[in-house]
Amino acid sequence: MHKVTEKNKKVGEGHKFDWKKFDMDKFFSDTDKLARKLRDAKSGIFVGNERDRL
Amino acid sequence: MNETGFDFRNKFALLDTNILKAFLSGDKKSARYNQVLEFLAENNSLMYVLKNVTDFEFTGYQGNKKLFDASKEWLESNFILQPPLPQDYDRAAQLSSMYRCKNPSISPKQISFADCLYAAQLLRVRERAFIVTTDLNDYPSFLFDMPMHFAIEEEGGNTTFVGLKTLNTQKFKELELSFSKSG
Repeated sequence: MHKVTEKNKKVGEGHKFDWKKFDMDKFFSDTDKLARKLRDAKSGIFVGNERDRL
Repeated sequence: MNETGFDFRNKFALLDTNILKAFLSGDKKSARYNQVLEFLAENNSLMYVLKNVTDFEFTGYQGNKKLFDASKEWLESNFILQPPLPQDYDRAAQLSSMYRCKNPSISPKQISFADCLYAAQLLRVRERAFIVTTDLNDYPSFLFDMPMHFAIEEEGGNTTFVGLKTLNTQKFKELELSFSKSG
């Protein structure tokens, strides 16, 4: 999994996102786990027009 | 390359909050977005999200601490979080007024503060960046081009479009000129 470090936190000339360290399968797995949590908790984030609520 | 001539290789890919939500929404697995991520990977795109905006529109939207923490962890583990620069806020306000000047009937939803802040960010680094969004109309064609898009088939039969939008310098100059002559 890609980890954000102090070194690569700076976006601009020093910005680095390293795809070699990015595990796409793990990303999707983690994403689906969080998605399940959000759905189970009936998170309002996906209900209606979010912007209307902001 | 594409019809606009924008070269995607080694550019910053600014992820709009709505694409993060799209990854997490629906009943189908997030892997349906792999064509988008594969394109970004193939082009060595430097993926990042706009901190503060994402904090508010995504993490801050969670209804309890457990979800708040889980969302924060997911964001911090997977994306570079870049705060806007102070000048981006001023530029965002100006862009909002320019949008309104260009199209007085434009919906207030289409000129939200966050969208203008994304546009301001892109204006500052326009030669080196593009935005990844599912709300194509948030980035109007009088300022942006869309050199690439993806159609994501949803389980229920709907289709979500993911656009890769770039800021067109010539369009910005024209917008700026008409704004300077207005009023």
